[in-house]
Amino acid sequence: MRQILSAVLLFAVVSAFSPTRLAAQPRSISNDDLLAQIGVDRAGQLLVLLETMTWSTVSGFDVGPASPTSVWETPVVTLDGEPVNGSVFGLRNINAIPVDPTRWDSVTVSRLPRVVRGTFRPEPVIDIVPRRPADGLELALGGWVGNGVGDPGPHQYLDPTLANVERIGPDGHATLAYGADAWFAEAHLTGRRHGLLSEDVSPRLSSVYAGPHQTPRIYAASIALRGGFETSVGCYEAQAHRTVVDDFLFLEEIGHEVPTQLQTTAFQVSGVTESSGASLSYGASYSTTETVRRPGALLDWALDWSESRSHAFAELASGRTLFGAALTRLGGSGPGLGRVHALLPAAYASRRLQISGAVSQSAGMHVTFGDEVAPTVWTTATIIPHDAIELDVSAVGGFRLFSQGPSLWYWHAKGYDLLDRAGVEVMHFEPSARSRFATVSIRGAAVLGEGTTVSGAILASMADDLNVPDVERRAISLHGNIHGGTWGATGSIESRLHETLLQRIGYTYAVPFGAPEFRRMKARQPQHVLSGISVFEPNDRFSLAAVLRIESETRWYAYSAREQLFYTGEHREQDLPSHLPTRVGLDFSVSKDFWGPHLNAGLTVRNVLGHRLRYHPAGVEYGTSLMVRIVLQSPAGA
Amino acid sequence: MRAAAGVWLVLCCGIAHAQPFSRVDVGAGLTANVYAPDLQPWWANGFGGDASVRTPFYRGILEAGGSIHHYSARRATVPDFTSLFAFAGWGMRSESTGFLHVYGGGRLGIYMMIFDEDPRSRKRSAYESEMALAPVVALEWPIRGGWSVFTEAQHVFVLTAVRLHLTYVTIGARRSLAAPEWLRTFLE
Repeated sequence: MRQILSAVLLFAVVSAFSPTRLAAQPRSISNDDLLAQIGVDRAGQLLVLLETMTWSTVSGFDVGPASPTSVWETPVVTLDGEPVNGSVFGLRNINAIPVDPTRWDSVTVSRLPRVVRGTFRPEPVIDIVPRRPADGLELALGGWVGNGVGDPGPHQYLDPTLANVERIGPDGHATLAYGADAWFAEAHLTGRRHGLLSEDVSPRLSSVYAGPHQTPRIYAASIALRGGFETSVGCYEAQAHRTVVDDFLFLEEIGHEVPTQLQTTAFQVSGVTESSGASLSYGASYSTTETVRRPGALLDWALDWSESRSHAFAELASGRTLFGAALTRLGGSGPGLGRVHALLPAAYASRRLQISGAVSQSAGMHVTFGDEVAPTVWTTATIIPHDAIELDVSAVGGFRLFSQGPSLWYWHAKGYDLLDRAGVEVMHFEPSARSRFATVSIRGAAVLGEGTTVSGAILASMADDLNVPDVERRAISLHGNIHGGTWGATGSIESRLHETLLQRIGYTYAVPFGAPEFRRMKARQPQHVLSGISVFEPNDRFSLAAVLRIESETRWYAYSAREQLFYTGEHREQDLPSHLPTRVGLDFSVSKDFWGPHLNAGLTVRNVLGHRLRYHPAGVEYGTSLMVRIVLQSPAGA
Repeated sequence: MRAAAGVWLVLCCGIAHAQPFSRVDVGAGLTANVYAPDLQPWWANGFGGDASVRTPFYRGILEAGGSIHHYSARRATVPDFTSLFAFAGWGMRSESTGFLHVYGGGRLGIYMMIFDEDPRSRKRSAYESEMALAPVVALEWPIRGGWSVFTEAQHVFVLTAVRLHLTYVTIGARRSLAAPEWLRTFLE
């Protein structure tokens, strides 16, 4: 009994992360076995680890991250530095990433504006880096399936009103790779299925889609190819992927799902050459996403849309100075628009000064030339008074162009007539060509003894001339002169109570201010986010993990105006909540390796507390679910 | 109260700690559903079978297994169905007395239900599965040569829309074997 109590107590407090990293730098999560230990089956589940992020989802598959501390609506999700273009109109679906979480090496989350491969990113960036194959031939196969609780069971014959609940997955992935000292090559396949058998979504979907299955399903399949080699002077990498998603794309401006197939093709090459103390980094990428009307769609119109992004950059770093230049071409094609593109050349430079042994200062400037010039400057002072303490103070100010985050509104301004064809009236449309912004932050991190790290930050951001949409009954507006900002604080503690027991807890508080339109938009994101992760790992082949996530209530004002006007093809109406209550989620996972490290089996019970969790007024509700997974690795990859 | 505490103390002191995966216990038995209040008005709960495999874990005992059960319709409006509970579990066994071992633990698994043809709509057989949890208690009497007989009670809690509470009692036999090297290698 004593042992049982001990195990329960230990399990109740556990958590994990690489514990000794100073967190003043961008938050970096090294995968190792952590993602498998806590049951991250799809990329979107990564977000439960991030106290600075939240997310919304309608289908449960299209998961769009959001940052309560940022003035910008959505963070960018990148794969090895390049945006994942698995969706359109700036909608960011983190689950469209063509690489399964089991193949990730690390995830880096930066909250401050920064330059990524020549592009200035004022919004937070979630960068996922795939891992390099191990030496030798590697074969990996894996998959998982989940089931939500609350099926009718035998009572379906006694009460016909009882509906089935969503079955989750199955998802599968396969990898064939070869690694050598100086080169590697990899082919990676993923397939995902997601059923939308939910009382919250099905009635709306039945008016826009009649497919072959009783349960409307989202399918996603992707193939990713990657290779690289190293020489005495540098390393070079190329990758390509093709992703096809049979989706139900929920467009808020229209008010319902549009059954659409998204076909994304992407190529990327990059390299670093070093010589005489200088390094030259360069890369080029191209991605395109086309939409195809999904068979079974009942709407008499379709998106008929394709968009592309071509990008090239080069940057030279010598000593403490860096110069770079980049060129981005954004293209769009659709009815009313023809084919248009925006060219965004950019140049940037930065320099780092070591003022004293403990104090350094860096500063930089990035200028994008689009419809207007968008300069940005930044500076960071870093103070390391002690080996175990790091402080930094950062300030960023500049401009962001409307074309830099092309939303449906941007393409509407260019002439794309989707809103007209969908019967949506645009009441007021005065977008700003560029927004002005400033961000300041003070951060600190300290290592307290063996394996315990504390970090914290105070952040404030503000912007003028923001483009903020406003939704009223069957009519929408875009206001382009909105002032808004956020301030807040975030902190985390990572510790190891015992060598087998890792734990981390993080908390973020964020408050929006400024114009009512902006505050209404930010009210969709929680003011308080708490994320706790615990892992009890008695040895390297077995673990128990717990993940706790608490997000405060959110308000969706657009839906209070439109509570009864989410139109479908038949103009049926649906009541939707404009207030989503506090979400408290608790997951438990068990992971065990068999046959050495070659076979991993895991089991996760999500939402143990059984609260109904909803992440969008029009979206599915999550109850308790059970997920079972298995991954088989050949000896080289294990 | 003191007596109960004394029993617990004896049981806890006698909790067995074997080398992980060093042995494999294979057991099977006949099962009776003795309590199914949510089903009894419509279905007759009869007999079934249960099989499980156990092995010492880093702490306690790990088990995996399944139990099958048939439910016969009492009324013409509902179909017969067969349930299969596939589970993984963990528990602890007290061997404080040589003649009687006490096992207690929990099981988590999938409760599958395979329905016969719907007598009303004549729709073909349906299949459903749902998560289920089950605390389990067993008494085991070692006989000889690694054999033991046992009686076991488990209360299965099926998380369907209308929660099902099902109590099963099992009587069976179990054989304990030294785990072969290849199996230990696999499990470790």
